[in-house]
Amino acid sequence: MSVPISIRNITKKYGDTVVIPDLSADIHDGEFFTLLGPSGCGKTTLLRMIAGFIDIQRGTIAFGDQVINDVPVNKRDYGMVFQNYAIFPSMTVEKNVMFGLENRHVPKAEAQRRTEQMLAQVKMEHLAKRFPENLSGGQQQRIALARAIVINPQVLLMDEPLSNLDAKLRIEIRQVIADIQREIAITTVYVTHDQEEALSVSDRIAVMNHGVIQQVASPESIYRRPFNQFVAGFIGHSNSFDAVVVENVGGQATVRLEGGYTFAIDVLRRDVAPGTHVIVSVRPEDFTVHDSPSGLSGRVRLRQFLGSHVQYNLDNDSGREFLLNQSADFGTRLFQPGDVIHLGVDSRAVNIFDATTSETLVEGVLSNVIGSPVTEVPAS
Amino acid sequence: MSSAAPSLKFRRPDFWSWTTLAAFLAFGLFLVYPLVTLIVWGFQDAETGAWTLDNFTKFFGRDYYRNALVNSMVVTLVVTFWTVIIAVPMAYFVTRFTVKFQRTIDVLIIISLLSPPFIGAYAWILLFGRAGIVTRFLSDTVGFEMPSIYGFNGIAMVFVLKLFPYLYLYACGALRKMDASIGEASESLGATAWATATKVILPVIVPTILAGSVIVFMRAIADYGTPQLIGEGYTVLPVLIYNEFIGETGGSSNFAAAISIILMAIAGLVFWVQNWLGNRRKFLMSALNPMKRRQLTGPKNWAVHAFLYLVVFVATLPQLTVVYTSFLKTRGVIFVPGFSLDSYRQVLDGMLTPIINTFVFGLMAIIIIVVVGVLVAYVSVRRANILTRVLDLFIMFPYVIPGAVLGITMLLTFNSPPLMLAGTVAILVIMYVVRRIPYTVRSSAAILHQINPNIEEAAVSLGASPMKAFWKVTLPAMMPGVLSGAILSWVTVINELSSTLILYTGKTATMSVAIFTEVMRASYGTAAALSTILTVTTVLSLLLFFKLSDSDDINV
Repeated sequence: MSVPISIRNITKKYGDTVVIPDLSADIHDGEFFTLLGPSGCGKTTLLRMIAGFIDIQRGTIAFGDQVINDVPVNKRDYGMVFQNYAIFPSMTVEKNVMFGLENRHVPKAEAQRRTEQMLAQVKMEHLAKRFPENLSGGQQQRIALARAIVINPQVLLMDEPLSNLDAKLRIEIRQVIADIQREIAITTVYVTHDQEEALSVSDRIAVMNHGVIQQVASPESIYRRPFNQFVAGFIGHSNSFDAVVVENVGGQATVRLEGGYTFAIDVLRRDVAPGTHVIVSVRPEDFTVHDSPSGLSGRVRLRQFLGSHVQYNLDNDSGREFLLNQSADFGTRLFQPGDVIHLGVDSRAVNIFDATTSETLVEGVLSNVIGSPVTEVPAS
Repeated sequence: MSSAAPSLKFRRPDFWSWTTLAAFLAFGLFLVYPLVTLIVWGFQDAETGAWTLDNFTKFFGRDYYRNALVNSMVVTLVVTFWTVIIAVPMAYFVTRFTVKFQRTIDVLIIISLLSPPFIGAYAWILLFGRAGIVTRFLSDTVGFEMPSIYGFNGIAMVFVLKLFPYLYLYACGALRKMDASIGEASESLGATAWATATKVILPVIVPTILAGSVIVFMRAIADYGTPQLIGEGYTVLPVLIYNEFIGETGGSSNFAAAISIILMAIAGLVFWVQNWLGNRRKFLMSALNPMKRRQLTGPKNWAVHAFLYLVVFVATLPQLTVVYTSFLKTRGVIFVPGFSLDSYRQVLDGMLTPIINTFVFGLMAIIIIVVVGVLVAYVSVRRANILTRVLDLFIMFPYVIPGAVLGITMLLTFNSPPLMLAGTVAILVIMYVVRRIPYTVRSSAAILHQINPNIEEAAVSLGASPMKAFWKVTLPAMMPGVLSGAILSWVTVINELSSTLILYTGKTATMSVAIFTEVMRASYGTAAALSTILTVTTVLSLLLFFKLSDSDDINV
């Protein structure tokens, strides 16, 4: 039976260093919730506090109604998958999976049955009697997953479970994890620094930086409508241009980029006054190439052919570098280094940030962080 | 800041806190307290007990004592130099070239390393001494008079042959960790094999060679048995200490304590310098792609093989001699032509106690060593705090305290109530534990560093109590490291001589003591039989270890 997790006003300091200043979050029952952020952002610390390996100095964490601050690790009801598998080297695969069941005093026969079933589910039944030393990383991580969920925990915790695997295995195991998680619908907290991984498996993502959650949202919202420039830059690549709001009449606005390119957008918040300095953020794939010499101009410095698309590093008039991605189908013309090209932007896809606060000025986009000033549900 | 509930194992005093405290107190009582006592004695007058520097002025004031210091330094430095000259090329050859019987070479070297040096000395006397087999043969047949094996040359030769294996194993270990691409990169940049070896590979293993040399230095400067047997007029510090302490010529414990302090100061200084140098230049290596051995051809191949086999043969010769001698026919203490089991019969008739003692004391010590060693290693790696760091330091002490000195400290300290341990079995066992536990602790700690703490967290997260997680998950994973440390502790316990000589009584004599006393009274047959039994025990222990651990390597 899985439960929601509520985290309230968590604080963590090591000596004078504040790792997590004051963090709150709600993780829904059965959802796949990902903590995403650069290394050192506090995501693993938070996970290990939920697991009980790190003291909760202030604040509370609850599984359902039960506050678990004082519950010892071995009495908390969760399963955990570790970055480096943490398979017990002195036990066979089967014994590894059965370990948690034995601690819960599950009758021998039932433990055996559940272990077999679980191993079959992760396609490891043929290796049940083997010792882990000669198993590949992918196999070990399947076993670790089986070991964590065979005990039917309330919560599943995963600490960068894919980061020690090679690229192909990472995708394979990612799918195994996503499949099983959906199947048993267990509340899952997943830590990663890999944005692609987070986007692909999560129901919701919490992007963290310096111990603070920047935004909580679905993968699509996080990617398309980042709440601030940090999120925009951390999830995928965003080209940032200095700009000024020229006019804004009830959300129908015009902005002028550095270099003079001016275009209309209709997602700007109504209260943004003309003359406001903003940052316009454009994903590399959200440009259109103009045939005529109008729009944003850039000189091709480097071309990288990446199979499904071509990536260009361009310099704009003021020498600032930005990226352009173009689909690499056969009809697309390839540019050469030195070519000057002219671009327009997809005005629906751009994001606009306040130049001073770095927060979004797009209508209706919220951080959804508990305790942040604005938390009501978006109007649109 | 208001601290919410201290969670689980980290704050509340638990089993591990008590373990740390108990280990700390035990080492304090049986290692630090005796050392302090020794130092106090060194600065006290023998008659009045008043504070004085007389013991030191006496030492530095007389040529006889000063010479012992000079002798110790000279012989130790010469020995260290030669072990490097012999061991480093050997290690290089064995790791870079295909060598026939390379495994055998390694095993023979390990065996020769683990038998006590004084047996080597005694074997060389049997061969090349005044009445030695080779000496007599040469003198009888071709009238050639051997140069004397006694004195400086003998001590140096015995030490070099006994101690080069340390450096050899260290250097092999470092070379095996080196990635082949380092050598390949050097050669691809146009370096010759010689330039690659001397300019690229050797510099990387210099810190290791340094560490190995220090071990050699420590062993050479601390050994008592060898210079006592073969040194004759060439007095070194441990002999001086022993004579002053035990000597029938009216020695003084206070003076012996002062000399001990000087010897420890030298050892400590060398150790500290090495640590300092070693930490300044440290290369982290892990061979993804270990160096491949190359097949040499022609004269080069010949020369490499000849060199390796010669060194190994000479190093194993003492063992062979001892075994051979043990089967010679004897009358009293004199050898007569022919072979027999006389010596063994004599040993079984009259010297069974030392054999039994060796095993009983050894087993008692090794059980304590393993239990305490594992626990101490665990707290020092997983529950590091100020106390465990001090404990780590304590554990290093025995590396710099010569055996004779340790024996003296214990005897001086535990010779009066409430801890009247002198003459008991307990004092021997405690001494063995203190002296030989470092191997087990270091080896257990080393493997623990490689075991990810996550496996224990995983166990606890699956509902195991922290204690159960340790027993069921961490300890089994540690076993290979514990075992390889324990084998070294065991073998060095049953071969221990210097401290035992000071602490034993008639009833608590061990095999090595019996061998030593038999050699001193020139009863070479029984000494050889006992040595053979000891060597066979050692070899069997090693073989058992190789079988259990599924390896043929050992960490020294």
